[in-house]
Amino acid sequence: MRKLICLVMVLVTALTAVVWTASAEISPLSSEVFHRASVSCSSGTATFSARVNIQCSSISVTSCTLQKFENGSWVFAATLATPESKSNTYTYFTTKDYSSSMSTGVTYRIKATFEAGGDSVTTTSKSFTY
Amino acid sequence: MCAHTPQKFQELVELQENYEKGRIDRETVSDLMEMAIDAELTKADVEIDNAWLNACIDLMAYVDHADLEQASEQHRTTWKVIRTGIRKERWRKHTRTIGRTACAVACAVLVITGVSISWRWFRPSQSTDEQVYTLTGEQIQLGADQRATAAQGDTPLECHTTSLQELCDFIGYIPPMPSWTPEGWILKEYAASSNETMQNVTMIYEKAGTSYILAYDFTQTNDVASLSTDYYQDDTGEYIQLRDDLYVYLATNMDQPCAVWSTANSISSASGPITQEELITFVLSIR
Repeated sequence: MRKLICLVMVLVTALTAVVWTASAEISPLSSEVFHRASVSCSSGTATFSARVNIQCSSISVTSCTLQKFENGSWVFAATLATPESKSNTYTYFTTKDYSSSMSTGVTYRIKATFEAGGDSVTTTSKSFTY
Repeated sequence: MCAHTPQKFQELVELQENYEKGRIDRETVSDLMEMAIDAELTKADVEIDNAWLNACIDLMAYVDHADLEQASEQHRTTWKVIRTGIRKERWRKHTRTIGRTACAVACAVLVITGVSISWRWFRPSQSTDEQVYTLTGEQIQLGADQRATAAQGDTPLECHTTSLQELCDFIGYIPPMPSWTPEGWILKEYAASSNETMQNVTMIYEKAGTSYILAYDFTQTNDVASLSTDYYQDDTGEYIQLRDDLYVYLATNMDQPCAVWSTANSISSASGPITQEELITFVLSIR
């Protein structure tokens, strides 16, 4: 009887672990809040744009990083100041000049994290040569 | 599922029409195709759009038809091999010398004459986890560089209104907009933003009892090559042709349907807590 209880406990534990692992793997990463997000850069000026599915008390860019293409891979170049946040809105659209962080002839891309309604998404710009 | 951007193919049709009407010569079309093929082949193998390559090669073959008529049997066979094979290395070997020389000559002629031919489209891609659908602007430019430049420190202008007149005054034209919404959905506001290179117009609809919105987004840019937009989704969606001139990418995000489509210089999308059929009707009503 004791062996049977042990066996059942082991099976339940194992099954729980399997279910937990599986659910962790398939949990949707799609955003409940964000519909779209983008960051683009032209002549050193970045344009941030996003649209959410529900009204959010605030939409903001919480982190912004400049990466440069060096020796065949992307490496950290600089931490950029984040643009201002927007309140009580569904859309976010702003620009910020980062030309002072860039050197002529270097290929860059910008990685930005948007946050709204407790959700966050990270998006990367197309690469561009300043 | 169709894995290409239909707009790209529309561009090919327009290019062919321009060639047939004598607006663009054979060499230019051929060189444009050469560049498009070259651009495609610089991608990782898994990202190469074979349908797109086939279409470009077919157009090249079409404009080269007169030459091929007089060409040897071996030359014609070579074309067949290219069209059916679509193998990166094979294509590179075949075109490297002749094609690139022709491209260089064509570019030089265009630069000297000051003529500019620009070819733009949005290339779709999926993230490896299929949770993000991205439209990335691509541009092939022959001749003078007409690319827009953003003003330094450019401050965007914004407009939030319920007045269509105010929206039109702000953006300077009557935007495409839906003429139908599902029952119970009413306009909450028009939101528009613009800077030197980009303009966003969002039409937001609300319904009593739901915090989610139904929205139509329209983004227009004069710098296609710099734009890349991520759309969030539950899984890879599918392309559906809604009209002769309208292919949309349909997916869901948190089980809510969303549609994304593009033209040569704009991206549009619509989403909301409605059925897919309602979303399609909503999209079809946008004119």
